[in-house]
Amino acid sequence: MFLLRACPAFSVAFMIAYLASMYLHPNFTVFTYAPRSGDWSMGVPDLGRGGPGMYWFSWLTTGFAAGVGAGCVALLVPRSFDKRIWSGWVWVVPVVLTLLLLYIERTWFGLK
Amino acid sequence: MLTFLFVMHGLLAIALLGAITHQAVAVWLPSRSADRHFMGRFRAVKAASYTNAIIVLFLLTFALGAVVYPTYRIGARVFMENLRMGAAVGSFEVKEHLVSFALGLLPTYWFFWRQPLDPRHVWTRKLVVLILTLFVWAGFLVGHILNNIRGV
Repeated sequence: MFLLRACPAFSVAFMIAYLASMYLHPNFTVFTYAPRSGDWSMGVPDLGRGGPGMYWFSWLTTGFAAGVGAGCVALLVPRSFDKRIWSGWVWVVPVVLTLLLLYIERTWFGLK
Repeated sequence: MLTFLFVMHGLLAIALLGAITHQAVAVWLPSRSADRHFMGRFRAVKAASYTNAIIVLFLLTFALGAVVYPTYRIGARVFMENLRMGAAVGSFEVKEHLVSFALGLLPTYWFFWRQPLDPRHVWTRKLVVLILTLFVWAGFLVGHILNNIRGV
């Protein structure tokens, strides 16, 4: 039950870190998976004919690490502070990030 | 084996879609009386009882999706790229990110939907399940349409 308080902080940090690492690719891409060979490599190597590389697993890992970090910080905050934080952030953040995501991915749909 | 996993991914996604749609409809359009019609009964379910099933179904569907994803990346996606089907490829990109957001949102979903339900967070609960439902529907529809374009 003690860990429950970390859940909202985990979610918010996970989603922000995931989108940031995706948008800032390759700067925050920690590792690459090469589906043709099944190899995992650190960073973003030039796979040449062995490509394409997959970065999704790295972005998920980054999001998870950020979520765990934020969750740990949330557990350190005194309980009296909880009531001062608006619970609506847990739905505002995904809505805003989804709009940002659609903007980032607009070029796939012929939009400039 | 891969075909089996892909079919399981699809079947679990349908089960997840049914469960989360039930919960979302029950909480957004609750039935006010004992209705004998199908839609009335559909809306009259006890929404909170779906929470754990939704979490388990989501995790299983997500895990199977992650297993079959590399095959899509070197097969169906390359096929669509060669045909310059940018919107189709982009749709999968959006799906990939939305289901990742949904994965991140899952602990919060559980936090607000665990029983006994906290009456202070009614709107947060309603909006979180709505967002999760939209993400799941988007993922399902994109996956289904892309599979019709080029199956894994």
